[in-house]
Amino acid sequence: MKYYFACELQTANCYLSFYRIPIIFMAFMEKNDQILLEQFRRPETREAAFTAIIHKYQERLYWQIRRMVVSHEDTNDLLQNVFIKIWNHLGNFREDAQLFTWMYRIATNECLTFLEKQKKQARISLNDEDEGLAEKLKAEKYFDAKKVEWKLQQAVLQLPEKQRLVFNLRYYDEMPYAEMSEVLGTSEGALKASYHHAVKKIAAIVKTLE
Amino acid sequence: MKEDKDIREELSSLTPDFFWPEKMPGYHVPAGYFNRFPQKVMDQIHKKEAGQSLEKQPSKVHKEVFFWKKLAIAACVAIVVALGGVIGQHLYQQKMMEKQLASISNNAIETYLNIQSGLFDGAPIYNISNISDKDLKALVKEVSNTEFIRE
Repeated sequence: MKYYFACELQTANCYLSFYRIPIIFMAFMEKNDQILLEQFRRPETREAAFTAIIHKYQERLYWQIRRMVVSHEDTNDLLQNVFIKIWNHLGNFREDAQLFTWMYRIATNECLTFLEKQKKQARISLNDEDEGLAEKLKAEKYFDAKKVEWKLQQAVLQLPEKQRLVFNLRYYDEMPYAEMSEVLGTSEGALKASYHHAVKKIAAIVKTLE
Repeated sequence: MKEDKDIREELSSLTPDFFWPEKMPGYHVPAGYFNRFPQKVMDQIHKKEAGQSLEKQPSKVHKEVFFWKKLAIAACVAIVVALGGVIGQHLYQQKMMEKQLASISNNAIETYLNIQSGLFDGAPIYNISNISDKDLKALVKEVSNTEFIRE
């Protein structure tokens, strides 16, 4: 049981479970984006290259989406949509931006659109959208209200969407401000200010939860 | 690694008295999810592409139904246009006649009717006192000589 729990956490912590991935894909994972893009443009290697791209980036994109929408089911649907969009538009991708930054941007837009839709639905049914996310968090399998990391998650969910996005990109994904600026189309100064506000708010909220 | 150090320094400078926990999201992910996911996406892509190509090439039956539908719609449109033309022309002619009649003065109509009316339409003709005896006798003689009277 302990071992199973450790494995689950390992997956949850974005560690690549190399022992599960077939060796054929390991070779693909080593290749850089440039080669993958060239292979994607050739019809005979298109699918293999795209599968390699999914293997390479799925976990990072998964966690970016999951931290925003909380539920695994919603994340799964959104991640599939993101990769279908990437498949449809990768042929036109101009290499003046990094592939991953571009993919991150697609995932971010998909998340924000989804949350906006949920907000509208919540308004129609007179529910509070933030309450909905908090409820989803509490329904998580390993949720423990006493643990500080869950308190942190609860606090993060109380931030406005864009501030939450900035906090997640900086704190969890350790993204430099310059890259964040490319993903979100906002100036580095504005992002820094947003992140600082978010950090202070989270610290204050976690203290009230203790 | 440098970025991570910068982030930790940034956090401790912003909130010096706060303990930031380990970055463990703790969220549950079904076992083997990431192994199955790429195939799931590829299946979705294949499905969508197959759907799109089917949409682009409609079946023969659909094509035939579509052709007859188009033909029926075209026939209806042609009938409506032809009927419209005939009715329109009739109405136009009627309107034009009314217009022409309206432009003729009452005097002109009276003059026309006087010209067109017969010899016996005039009031003086019916006044028998205006006919001389000689003319009257000649008329009676002429009438009595006809075969019809004799018979």
